[in-house]
Amino acid sequence: MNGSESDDQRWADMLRRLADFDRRLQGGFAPAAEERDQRLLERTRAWAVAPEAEQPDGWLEVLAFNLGGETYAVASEHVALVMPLSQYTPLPGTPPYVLGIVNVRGRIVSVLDLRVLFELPNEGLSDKNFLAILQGPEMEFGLLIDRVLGIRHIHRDALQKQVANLTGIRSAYLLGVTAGQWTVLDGARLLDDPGMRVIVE
Amino acid sequence: MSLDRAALQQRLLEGFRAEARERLLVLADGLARWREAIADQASVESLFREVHSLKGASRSVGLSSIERICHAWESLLSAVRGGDLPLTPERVDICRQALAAVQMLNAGQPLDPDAQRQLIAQLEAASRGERVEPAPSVLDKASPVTESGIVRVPAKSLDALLFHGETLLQHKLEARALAQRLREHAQGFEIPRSRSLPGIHGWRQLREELEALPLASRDLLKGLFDYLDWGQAQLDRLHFQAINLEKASRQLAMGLSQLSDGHATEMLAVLLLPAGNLVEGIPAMAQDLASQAGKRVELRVNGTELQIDKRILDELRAPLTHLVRNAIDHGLESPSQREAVGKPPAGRVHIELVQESADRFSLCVRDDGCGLDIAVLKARALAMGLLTEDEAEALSEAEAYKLIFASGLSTSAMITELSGRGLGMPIVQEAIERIGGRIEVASLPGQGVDFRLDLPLSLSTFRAVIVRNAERIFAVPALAVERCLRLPPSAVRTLENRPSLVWEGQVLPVWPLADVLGLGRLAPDRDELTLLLLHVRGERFVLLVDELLGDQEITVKSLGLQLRRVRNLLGATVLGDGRLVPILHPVDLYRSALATDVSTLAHSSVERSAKRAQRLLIAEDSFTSRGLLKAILEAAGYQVATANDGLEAWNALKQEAFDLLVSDVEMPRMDGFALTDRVRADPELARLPVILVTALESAEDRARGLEAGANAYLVKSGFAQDSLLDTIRRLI
Repeated sequence: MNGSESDDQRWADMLRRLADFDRRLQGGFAPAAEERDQRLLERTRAWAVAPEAEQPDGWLEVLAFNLGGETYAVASEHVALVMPLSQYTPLPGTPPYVLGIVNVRGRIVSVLDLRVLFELPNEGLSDKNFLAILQGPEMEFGLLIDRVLGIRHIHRDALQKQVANLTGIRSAYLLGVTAGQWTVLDGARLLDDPGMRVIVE
Repeated sequence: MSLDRAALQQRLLEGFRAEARERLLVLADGLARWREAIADQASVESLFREVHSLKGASRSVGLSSIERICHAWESLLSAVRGGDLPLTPERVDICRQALAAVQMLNAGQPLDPDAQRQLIAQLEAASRGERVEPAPSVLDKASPVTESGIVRVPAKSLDALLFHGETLLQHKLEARALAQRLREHAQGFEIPRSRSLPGIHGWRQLREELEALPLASRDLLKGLFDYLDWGQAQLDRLHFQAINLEKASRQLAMGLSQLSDGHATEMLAVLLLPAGNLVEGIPAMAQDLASQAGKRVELRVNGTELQIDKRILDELRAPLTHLVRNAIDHGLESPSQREAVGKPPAGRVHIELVQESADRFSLCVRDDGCGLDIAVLKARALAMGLLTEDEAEALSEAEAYKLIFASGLSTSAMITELSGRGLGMPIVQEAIERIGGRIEVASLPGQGVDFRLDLPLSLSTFRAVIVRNAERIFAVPALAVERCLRLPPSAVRTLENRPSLVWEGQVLPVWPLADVLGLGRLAPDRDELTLLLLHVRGERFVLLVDELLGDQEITVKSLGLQLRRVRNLLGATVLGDGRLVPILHPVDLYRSALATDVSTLAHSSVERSAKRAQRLLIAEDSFTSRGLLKAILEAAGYQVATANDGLEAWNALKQEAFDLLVSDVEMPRMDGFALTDRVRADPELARLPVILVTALESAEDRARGLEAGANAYLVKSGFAQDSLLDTIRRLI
């Protein structure tokens, strides 16, 4: 008799557990009500925390690109477009850093070689050629680049301004150098400087 | 001639109608404000001026009916303006009647002669102060004149239309080039089609005899025949399609052509503005300048009703301002000086516009000041080294006056704030020449200077001669090109190291264009010289070019925002095939030519026999690398040709003789290894030195390159000019 009693007991146990499974299945594995409330509360708290005040001026959005084995960047607000460059027309009588002109949607834009402008050794031949068009109210030109790395954000404070090897014309047009050895160009300066206007009488 | 005059008369009449419309609008507005005889002095003044101008303009085109009404009307307004007569409602009313009559006449509606006589009589009576009964004239019955079909558009918005016109012209040129290429493409099919299979009869028999062959070869041959038939059919189909495409593109090009030309003609008509726009603000400026300089000036302006292309007017504004400034600042003397020589104290400056023919007009700026002093001009030119003493002696009066257009020469002893920096006149001349005009100056000492500008009424299309030189293409403005010549090399003689040419009895200097532009090129041997005879500012000279590619319409674009001014260049243009081509500046070319002292033409005959330049071929698909290599090698004195890939290089090698090949490894169609293989396998080229230049830096590749038979293998990343030049020098 004892045995049959414990059998009944076990049956009842099993049925209760089955009912429990059934309830959880019905509820789609939802957590228990208290547990749910607890979790929601945590989430609310997390979201309620005010985000740390970002300094909008602290970050600089730049277009980074490769040229002759070096990485350069220029504030993206000055870049009107980047396009592949298949051919340009050289002009006689221009300064050496002006490679020539291209036709960009019906407008003529000059093409510059930064390596010549910055008096850098012209090491290696470049194969991948793109043109980054820099545009200002009174000025427009294209920079010859090898490869576009993309849009990045750099912290202004991280720019190193005094670097020993930056002298002369190079330093005049630079914002600084990043920790990762990127040379950041001063787009506004390049576009505003009357010295960049070519007038050969 | 009579036709020309009729056309001129027609244009004048149209110009008058447009002007009268404007003036009548002003009059109508003014009169509308004269409510019940209340008018301020300024508005009476302005109405008087309008009526006066209208009278003058109608007289000049011979519309006497308008002139008579205006004459009587003017008398009435003059009396009111002078304060002799008060403005009464009757007098205002009669002014309204006069306006309505002139409006009708200007709109081309006939006016009853009696009504006109009555109106004139009334106007005259009113101007004498007599009281006039406003008669219920015929005018009231006339339908009110409305300005239908006329819209006023700000001149600025025409610029956008102009730009579209230019784009349309560009598309027309491109469509034409495309049609031409498709034609060549279609013609290309005729070569394989015209080449018939040899032994065609034998083949037919073979087809019939197929059945007799053993099964295996029969199926094979049948397959071959089927394939040939299929190929032939495909070729025919493609040929047919190519012909259709060519036809369609030709029609498209023709349609675009008509559209573009029609648009240009219409724009020309729309762009005509009265020359009055040009002198706007100049009278005020003249008075300001005169009072600043302590002088007195009387400015007269004539011919402002002339209709002129807006683009010409835009270009003329700065030169005209400058000429008037000069006249007041340098020309006119102070009142006391003038009285001392018996002139009236107020100096006179006269601006006059006159239509000279159906498509040209003249703009004169005259003053009655002290005139140009030839001795001072010559002395300045001598001091600046523009002339030698002997040249100055020999200079004629007219030539001496031209000196004012020389850069840096100012006759004003004192550099004032206004002018006298000596930069103005060359800029004026440039601006005038840019729009196809000419400037002349005449002067009588003590009696003033007379500038006469001869200008076109509208900007016609710009034509250019396209030339190839030192592997580059340039456009030369057709206006400056007098002739294109092809002559044997013996026609060019060298006198005192200056090459020259005798043409039509005149000895003309000859310069190679490459020298003038500083392109540096070794003169190639040739049987015939291609020469351009240019005529610039009265000077004739000859340029030697490599090849003449044709003459065509072009659109002139500036060199972009950065390149404000580049010597020898006027702008750039896009040819029909998309190529961007610089446009040369003829005046600059002459100046640069005079400055070049080394002529390759003069030395080439000597050098050619002494040492032939070594010719190199560069095969490279990247254009920057190609350009750099070419520049390095040319700077080292080699003659360089380029190819875009291996196959092109191979074709070049088979056609011309080269001393050495520099080739990239990775190239489309045929790579550097394959090219080297071919060169080594060819009996004629087997001994040609080959240098491979590559971005591939692996020992395996190097081995493969040398195995293919390359003489040297240079890696781009460690590329240095010296190593390449050293290698070349070792090899040849």
